Amino acid sequence: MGISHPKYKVAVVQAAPVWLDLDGSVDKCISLIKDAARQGCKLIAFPETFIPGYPWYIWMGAPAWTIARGFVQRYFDNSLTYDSPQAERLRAAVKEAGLTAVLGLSERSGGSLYISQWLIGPEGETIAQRRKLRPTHAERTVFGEGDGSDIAVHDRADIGRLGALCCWEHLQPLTKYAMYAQNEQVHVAAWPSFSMYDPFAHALGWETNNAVSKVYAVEGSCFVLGPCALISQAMVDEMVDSEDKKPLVHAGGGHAVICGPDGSMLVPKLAENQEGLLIAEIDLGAISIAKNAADPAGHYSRPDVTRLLFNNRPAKRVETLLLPVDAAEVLGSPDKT
Amino acid sequence: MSGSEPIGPLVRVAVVQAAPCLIDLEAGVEKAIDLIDQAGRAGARLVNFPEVWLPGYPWWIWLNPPAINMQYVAPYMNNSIVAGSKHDNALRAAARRNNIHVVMGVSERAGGSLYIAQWHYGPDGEVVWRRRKLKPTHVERSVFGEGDGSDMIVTRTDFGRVGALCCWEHLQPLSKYALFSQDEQIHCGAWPSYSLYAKLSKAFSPEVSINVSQVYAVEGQCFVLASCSVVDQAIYDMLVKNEMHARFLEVGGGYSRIFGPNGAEFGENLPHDKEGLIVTDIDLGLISHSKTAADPAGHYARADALALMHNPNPRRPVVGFGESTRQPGDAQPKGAEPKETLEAAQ
Repeated sequence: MGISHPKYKVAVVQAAPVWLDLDGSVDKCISLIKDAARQGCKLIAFPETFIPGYPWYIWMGAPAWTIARGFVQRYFDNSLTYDSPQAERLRAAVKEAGLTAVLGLSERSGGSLYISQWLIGPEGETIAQRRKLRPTHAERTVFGEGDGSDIAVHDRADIGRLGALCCWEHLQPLTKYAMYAQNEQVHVAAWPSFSMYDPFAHALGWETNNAVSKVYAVEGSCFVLGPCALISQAMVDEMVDSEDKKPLVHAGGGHAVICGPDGSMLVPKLAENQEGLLIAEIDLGAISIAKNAADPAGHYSRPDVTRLLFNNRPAKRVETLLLPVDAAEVLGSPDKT
Repeated sequence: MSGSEPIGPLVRVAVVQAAPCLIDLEAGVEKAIDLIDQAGRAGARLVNFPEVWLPGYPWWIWLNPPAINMQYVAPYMNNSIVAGSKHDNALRAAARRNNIHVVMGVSERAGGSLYIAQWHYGPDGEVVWRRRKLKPTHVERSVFGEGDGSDMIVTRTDFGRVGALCCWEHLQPLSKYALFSQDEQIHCGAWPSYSLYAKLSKAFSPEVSINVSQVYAVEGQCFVLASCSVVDQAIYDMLVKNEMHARFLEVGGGYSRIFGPNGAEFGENLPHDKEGLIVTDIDLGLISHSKTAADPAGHYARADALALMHNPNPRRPVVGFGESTRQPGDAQPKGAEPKETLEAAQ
């Protein structure tokens, strides 16, 4: 008897956030988690910064406009901190649902915000609290950066080897390789919406980025769960306060997908302005077939030619040190140690 | 918003979509020269060919067990091109006659081994580089040897920086990064046809394969010229002997494409069973638009966390030692200038 492979149902969120409203966002997350559990799913994946929504305004106006309109203040105030009551509610809801959730959030830590994904296990435990390594373009005016410790795959007895990245981290060859090399089996690719700058910025559009999710699956021979938010008309109305902003955004942009390790789409997409859960049963046994043709850090690699140099240690901002003179004092007084 | 006015410089490029003359090097070179002439007449500065287009992709390795395929071994070997041969020189002469860069996909014979290779000829008929695919895929390993770190090449031409990879080398993150980090602007992707196993595995389908080229363009913010072979009726009749074969291989499969750095398609595609060239002007200025959002070895890199180690040296199976008694010209290292002159070939 060889190995047996996990086989289970997954849920992928396509929904508008409760924009710039932390409590509303948390309520909506919990409702979606309950819904996924009711349908027998063992894993649910949320879009990028679904709590409290992606800061779309950074692509709509000058920095001073974003402050004057109050977006900067609201975004900071409605971002989620790890030790908050809202975070506790989320963890309790995941535990009650008895599944694993990959949350997408703007995480507030001290005076900074980060594009984060929290992986919460069925006991409500934190599997990982990761941050996007390199925000893209105007995102850099809002968010700080993660470090090498955020590029990690987590071995889970119930659902297999789980990893997560955000948005254009999927365009980073070295980041992808670091994940593949950890033998990732189920990958959450979290996206915002694709209706900003549509249709004139092709690189930011759904067609390109659905292809990115699909190619990630084929390159890594893994399942890709691609949750994707959408922009509601109310959000559009709130941002578009002048004629020149009208062409920049439209309502919709939801393009959630679930890809198999051969690049096939496992379930049909929803309409771009439709909210709901994509649900598919995945059988991790299918990975073996895909790996037979390509395994980038295994039989398909050429370590004599290329290797990844990977620093996966956390980049601490403060290192404490002990001066020799103080060390002597500490060592000399056992009651202090 | 991006304007519709070109930024420049504009470069006219050509991408081949054609059936190879399977296991017939003589006819294949003739057909290649005809396509190079066509590209030259159309004013292209660069023409890109499919994977091992000379003398065609060995599709039979995916159709039969090794014992049955022994019948193809000697003919395929004998019809694989040798560096410095009259065939090589004829192609060089065609590049020179048309004042064009040619990136040719070949099965290269060197000694007793074959390699999946791409040869880049310059407009003076010079050999710009010869590269070999680093890691053949699956059963390709039963036919071809491997390249080395010196095969990850981006070369500066007078119109832009040109690099090349074959087939699923485009699924190798580190190989891609090695080229992106050399500031590649025009990428020549070589593919066989997408009509092999296309209905059995989505990974081999036209849809996924086209996406792979598209994503390469977006990841590297470069233009991708993806050249793809066609399986014509002659190839089909030669290889398809039973119902099982018919499920594995189909006529057509030509899906040559040109993608810009924003992932958008450029040029007029051909139907998948038609032969010809896609010729279009590409605007290298668009690269700067895409680089402002992502540049994987530049502002988008996180070298404190992730870096590429690349050994760019050739891998030689024999390393000499001791006192040298031979003249430098005695050995014929890979990529060496041929003994036969270009003039003699013309």
